Amino acid sequence: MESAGATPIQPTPGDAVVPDAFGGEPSRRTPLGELQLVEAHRRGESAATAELLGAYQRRIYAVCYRMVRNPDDADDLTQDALVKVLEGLDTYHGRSQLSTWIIRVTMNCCLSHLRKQKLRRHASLEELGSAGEPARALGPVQGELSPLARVEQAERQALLLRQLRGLDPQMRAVLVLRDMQDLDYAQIGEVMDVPVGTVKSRLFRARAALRAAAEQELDSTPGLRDP
Amino acid sequence: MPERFDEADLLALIEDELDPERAAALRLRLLEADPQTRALVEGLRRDREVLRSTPEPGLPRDFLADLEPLLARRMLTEVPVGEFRRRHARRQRPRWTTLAAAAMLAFAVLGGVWALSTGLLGPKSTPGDNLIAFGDPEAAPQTSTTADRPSRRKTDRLAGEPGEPDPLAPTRGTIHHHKPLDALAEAFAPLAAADRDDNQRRAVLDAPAPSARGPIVAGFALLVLSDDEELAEQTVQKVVADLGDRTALVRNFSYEEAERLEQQWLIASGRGRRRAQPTEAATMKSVRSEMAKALDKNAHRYERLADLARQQFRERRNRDWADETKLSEQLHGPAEAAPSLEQQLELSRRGATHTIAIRVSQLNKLLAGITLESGQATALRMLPGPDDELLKASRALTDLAWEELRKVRQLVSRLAEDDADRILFLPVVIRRPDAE
Repeated sequence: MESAGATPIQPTPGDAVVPDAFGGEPSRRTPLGELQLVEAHRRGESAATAELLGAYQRRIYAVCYRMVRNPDDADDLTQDALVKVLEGLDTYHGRSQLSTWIIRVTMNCCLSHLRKQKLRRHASLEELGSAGEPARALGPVQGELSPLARVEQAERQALLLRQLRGLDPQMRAVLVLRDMQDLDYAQIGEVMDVPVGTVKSRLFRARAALRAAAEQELDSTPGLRDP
Repeated sequence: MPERFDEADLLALIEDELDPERAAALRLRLLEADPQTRALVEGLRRDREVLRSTPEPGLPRDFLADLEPLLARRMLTEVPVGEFRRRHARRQRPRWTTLAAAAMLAFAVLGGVWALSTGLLGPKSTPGDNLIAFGDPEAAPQTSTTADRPSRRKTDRLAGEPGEPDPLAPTRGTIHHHKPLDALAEAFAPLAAADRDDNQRRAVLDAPAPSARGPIVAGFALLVLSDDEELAEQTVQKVVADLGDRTALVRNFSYEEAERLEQQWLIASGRGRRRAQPTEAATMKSVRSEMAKALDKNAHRYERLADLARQQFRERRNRDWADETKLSEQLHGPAEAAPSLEQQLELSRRGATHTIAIRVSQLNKLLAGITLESGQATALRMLPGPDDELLKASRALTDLAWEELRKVRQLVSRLAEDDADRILFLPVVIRRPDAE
């Protein structure tokens, strides 16, 4: 199922072998094992359905959680996404990876939910704090090896996750897909239904926007700043 | 003038997509020409690393355990006809299928005109459908060799075409959606509202005329498990009666009873016993092959059994032959609303103990009413197809009888898109939980 010129990646334990393709039109690269599961699901084999959905429910939840940052909403969205995946498996054509397709369904659920919610671009610190991660002040980042550095890393992580929630949903989506779901540009383009060039542009601007939001929080907290 | 850097190059540096040499060169250029941008890039790289190192949130629970009842609830609450049609139309009709459908329609119209003009248009034949058999009874082929009986409503053509592959091969599994009363009431509240709106609309428009098309037979059955089968039957009867006058409930004329009558008749008439159906099958392939050949004979068989039963009944009870309801048990509704004896036999053979006749638009209300009764379990499951009888007889294949909820849901969706006033014959299986 590799496209011409594609570079096969080395499978890691537990992964299906997935030929990779950078740029150009997506090729038919659904792993054979997953395709067989889909076909078994279509035949009505409930064990195949359970295996398929069981393998992806964690990932679906992760996407939902990172997009809405509210555990209750993430719970509901995960259920909705699973149902939509189940409904859509009959029409899944295998032109894209199953994982990409599932994430696309999930992301559409999340974006639809956010559109309905009409979230503000920048939530207050109290709201962000109540979402489950403490609104800690940022300390200086000096490295990643020392215990202090690890604590600071954690604080930086909390800051970025808080600010991520305040980003525009489209920007948030591209960061979640790139950094947390480890999708490549082509896959992100499939999920968001935009060209690769748009993905790159959106990613750069999303990173810049996240940095700007983080800087704003730092500036608003006296005495705490990156060196 | 400060050097301008391409956004793509900067992104490539941030994303570690440059080889070390190019990355170092770009960093140097940034340092010399635009330290501010370099600082930004380094900040973005750090942010990227932080986000990528964020652990995945733990799964709070197993979502799959909740998926099954969720699907059942969604199935029963999604079918309010008007709303479902709008949603269904939005979701499932990409443009290319619309174009393809339009092209096919145009081709069919042109073909029909050509056929009419050349006199080639013969008798209509309804398309084969494994799951729902329907057709215009006036256009259905007359297969009976007995005299024409105007008061006997011709059954719709029975499901399945000889040799037609079953696109939905049955697999094991049933979905039970027996729930506490409170949860059910909450789940069906939107449904009740939709029904009220629907009823109000209909009241304004006057009672809708009965559909000109013949009844359809659902390929799925309502399964009611109860330790008290008589009480369960009364429950179903009450719910059907509450739906209104244009409904019916019959206890099907049992196929086993019909075969028993046939055996008695054969013996009494000196023709010996009927050859028994084979009960063992060497392989599924041989079974399917046999049944494929025999499938077209099923319809004739039901008619023969029904005619024989009518004859015997007439002889025994000295009643009018048109009073077919006495051969089965009409528990509610007028005789003309009930399925014919042939239809009852076919459904009985496939496991249905009763048949409900309702309008398609009443299906949700019926299911809501029955599932709200306490003390019993209800489920929807696919009926075994007419060609499954021999499969069931084969020990190796007895677990192939039932479909999953997903298939049933597809049928309910199709029903909702069809004529809402059309009469639906819904098979019902009432039995004890430990029976099979």
